[in-house]
Amino acid sequence: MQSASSLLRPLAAPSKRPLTMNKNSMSEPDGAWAPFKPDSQRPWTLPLAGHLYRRAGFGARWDELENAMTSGPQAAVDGLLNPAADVASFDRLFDSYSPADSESKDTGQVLAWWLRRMLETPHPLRERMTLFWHDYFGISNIEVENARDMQHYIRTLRRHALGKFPELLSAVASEPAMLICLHAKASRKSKPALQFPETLLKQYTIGAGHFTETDLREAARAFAGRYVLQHEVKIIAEEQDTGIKQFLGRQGPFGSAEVLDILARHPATAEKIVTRLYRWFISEADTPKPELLRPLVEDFARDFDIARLVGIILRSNCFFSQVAYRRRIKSPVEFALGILRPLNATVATLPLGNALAELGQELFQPPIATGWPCGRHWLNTFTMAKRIQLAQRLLNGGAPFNTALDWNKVMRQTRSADGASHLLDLWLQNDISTASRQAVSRLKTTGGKVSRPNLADTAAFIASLPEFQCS
Amino acid sequence: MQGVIKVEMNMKSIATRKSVRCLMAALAGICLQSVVTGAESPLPAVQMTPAETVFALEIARPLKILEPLLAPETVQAFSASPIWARIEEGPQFQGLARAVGFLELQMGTDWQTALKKLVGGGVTLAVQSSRETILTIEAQDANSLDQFIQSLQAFIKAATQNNPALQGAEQVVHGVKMTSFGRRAAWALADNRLMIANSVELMERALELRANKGANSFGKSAAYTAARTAAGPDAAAIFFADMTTVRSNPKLQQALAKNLTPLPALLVGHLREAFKKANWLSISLDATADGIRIKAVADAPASEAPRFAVPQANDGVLPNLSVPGQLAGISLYRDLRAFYQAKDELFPERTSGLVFFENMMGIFFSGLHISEGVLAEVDPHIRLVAAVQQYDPEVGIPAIKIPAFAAVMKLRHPQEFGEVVEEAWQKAIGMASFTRGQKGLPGFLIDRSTNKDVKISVAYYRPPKDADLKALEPRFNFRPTLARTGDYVILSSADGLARQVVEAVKKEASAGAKPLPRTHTAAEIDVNALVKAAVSSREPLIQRMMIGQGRSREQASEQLDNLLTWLDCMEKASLEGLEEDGRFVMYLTMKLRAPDAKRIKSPASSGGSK
Repeated sequence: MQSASSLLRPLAAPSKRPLTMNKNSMSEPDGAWAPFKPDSQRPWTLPLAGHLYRRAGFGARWDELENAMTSGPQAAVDGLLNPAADVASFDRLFDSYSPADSESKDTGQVLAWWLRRMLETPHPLRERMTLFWHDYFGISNIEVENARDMQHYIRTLRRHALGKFPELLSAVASEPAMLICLHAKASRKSKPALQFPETLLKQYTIGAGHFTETDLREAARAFAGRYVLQHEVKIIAEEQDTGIKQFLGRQGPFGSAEVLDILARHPATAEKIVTRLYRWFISEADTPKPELLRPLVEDFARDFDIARLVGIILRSNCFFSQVAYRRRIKSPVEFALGILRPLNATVATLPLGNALAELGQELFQPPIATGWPCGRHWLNTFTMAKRIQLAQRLLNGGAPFNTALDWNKVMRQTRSADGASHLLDLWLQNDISTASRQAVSRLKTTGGKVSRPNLADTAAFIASLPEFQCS
Repeated sequence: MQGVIKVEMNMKSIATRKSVRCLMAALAGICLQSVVTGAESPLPAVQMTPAETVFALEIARPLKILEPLLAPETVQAFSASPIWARIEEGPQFQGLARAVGFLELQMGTDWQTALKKLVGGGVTLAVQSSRETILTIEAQDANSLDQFIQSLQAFIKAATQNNPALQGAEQVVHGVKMTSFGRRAAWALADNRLMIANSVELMERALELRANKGANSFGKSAAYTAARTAAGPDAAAIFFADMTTVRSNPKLQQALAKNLTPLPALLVGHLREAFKKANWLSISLDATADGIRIKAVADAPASEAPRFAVPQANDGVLPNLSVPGQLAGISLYRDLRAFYQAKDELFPERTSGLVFFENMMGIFFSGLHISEGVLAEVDPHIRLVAAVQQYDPEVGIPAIKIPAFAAVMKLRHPQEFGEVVEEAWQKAIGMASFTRGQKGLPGFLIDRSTNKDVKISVAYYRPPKDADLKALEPRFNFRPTLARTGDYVILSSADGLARQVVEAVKKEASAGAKPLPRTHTAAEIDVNALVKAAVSSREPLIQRMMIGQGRSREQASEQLDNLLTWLDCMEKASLEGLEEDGRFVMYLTMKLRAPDAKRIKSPASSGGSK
């Protein structure tokens, strides 16, 4: 089993590299973020298409890969940002499923519906971004202890996931889940809660070094009067502090809305978000130089449009280069859904949620305030063994996941000679090292004839390859 | 599959099925043999099985079971059900249909009559501790069996013509021609019977017992004789288990050694103790006019069982109460004080938990000792009721409807202890309200009213302002209620049910209901009402199946329909546990009917998700 750190080193070159580093384009920041235009030196290839769908969604179905190859990278990104499917109808249907009981702290069912949504959504990029913001804000049900509050919070994240950051921040800052988690259920004028504004400044927006202790206290004053009562955020007028405040070099009778707006639109906030999105979409392994990110930061700071920022990243030379290709470790959610979604499989998501928790990612419960540690922290001897076991259980059907998977239908999609080849194309676009290829070929497959148990075992083996652990 | 079906025989497709081929090949070797040899009056099949039999299933009167199952109206109803539609779509159905059609053609009658003729004499299956098994199928008459065998001749010829080895080796054992395949399979025809065993030795022993008129056989053993007597002479089928051997299984030993938690111990602890000591267990089945009755008997003296669940003299459970919309009722005879006194034996691992429980009960019951001061005041006659709730639209109707539950207890000193119970109830409600308040959740209001000899205290939630009274939250299913009338105290999850139970108790008192002698448990389930409740809760059940089992919406809906169809076959079920002839006996009675798709008709799917 390869170590986590070895997985983050650039992979050994296969015989035909899908990517060619154009050093000139990558050395200039503007060049890095210019839209990727395939040419003879850097063609648009199946591995790049697969890379796009892994990062912007949870893996691609075969028809999606074929469409992407036909339409090209920019059109593929357009389709991810603005899907043609009726997303509104899908949302109405899934929002109607199983509303959480207002008194239960068990998020099992709500989590199961979210996983199901990720699998079936016609807008996977939006679910990716919802997951990003869930990680970004780090609100955990361990503190909130209420399934309905958490469900409401996630729906707010989803609504604004690809919108404007100031609106997103304003919305989540009024979520009962956030205030409960940050011990701000009651903020009195005489003793305003400090943890919420501290987290807001330090973690969600401008970051340490950009504010003083005075700024923090003034922000706390601005948020006084906000109470969480019976799962709603209410403003108690007599507890509000309407006095003049000095905040980040400005002066005025700032309330919570004004402070949130100032923070959301601060250049340091733009830099923080861009850096986090770089890690999310480009690479966890490398720390980007500030100069590289400057064009993104400046563009984002114009109006804090998240969709535009994400679009720039996904369309860029940088994204379609070695800087980004397989430079992330799949989280447990990406790992499991990356197996299922390309195969168009349905699965019992209640037990899947529990299995993902065992791999270190229990949705609704990020372990620390800054979200999940990610990167190499996803993999150790124990979790790698669990991943292999999960892959086997998912692909072989049966309890508890009851994976519904039509292998014959999967095979009919492809012109490949055998199941193993098709799965390599589907999941990894056949971009694997020589050692991995030899390992796969040693497996006994039935060559051309679909034999379900063999193909399931082969699939489980491919899902255990080092390449599959990388996004 | 009704009437005679014109069949196109695809010999190769049938002949390639290995298991069918083996059986048919064996029968080819023994077809047309002399059927009746030996004794003039055939021995019961159980007297042709060795004494060491561990499990035996004897269906002595198959027609009692087959007649109602194969009645035209039953077949028609089942054919119209969604379950049958699914079976018809299955990959193996066509092969089965062809085989059945062939049978009908050859037997010259419909498959129902053919089946009755072939097995109408009885079916017996016996399993040894070594897992050697012998199956005996007795036809109604020799002609039926001959006709069946002959009808397979051509069939078998095609299966074996290229594989003579499949025709097996023949030998005569105690006057009966036996065909064997190595040492691991053997068949014989004797006395209108087809005998099949997975061991040649076992077949030889069976034939030997037949020749010796069943001397020292399983059928003549004291254990089986006693079990057969206990089952009753009219039982259509009886299953027997030698518990002495079965209990030597390590997994079962482990399970029996594990201590029960308090609630299961209260319900079935006495039966489990009997099970641990029983020499044998018999389960018999009989068909009634409109259903079936199953009787289970364990050969263990009831006198050695824990006394908390054994009624004294002619005492026993009171009849189950009946209220409108009732789903289920359980009537128990449990001496709670005796039960608690035996706690150290029944669940020794939970002593620290019990200490906490005693301390808490001391708080609720103002310092009274749980055993002497509280449980001793409760009469052993305890009843539980579950019923569909009726909601008052002005009060509000929850979006998700949950049945109501009630516990009915008789007090030894209702005047004094009734008030102690009421005080404890008020404390419990107060504590629940306080705990909810700590979480910012609304608590209970309490109303108390007295009407003649009935005192009712109801705790309820206030509906929030601007709430949709037709779709309240699930917590509005709960209106905890305490009612006192006469000697009884009723604890219920809803006041509506509590009032209905009060009426039922009063009606019972005026009619002078008597206990069922020596009966420790009596339960009734109105499956019809349960199915109706499930149909009205389709959507939550479907959604649960979607995420719990990975089904698409359509699959979950179909699966639910199948489950409801099976349940719809049962109108009512009742379970009685009593002491009979010094042993514990359980009766399970099910009133059956043909399924009707209209009763479980599913609303149109809302579509969308795959």
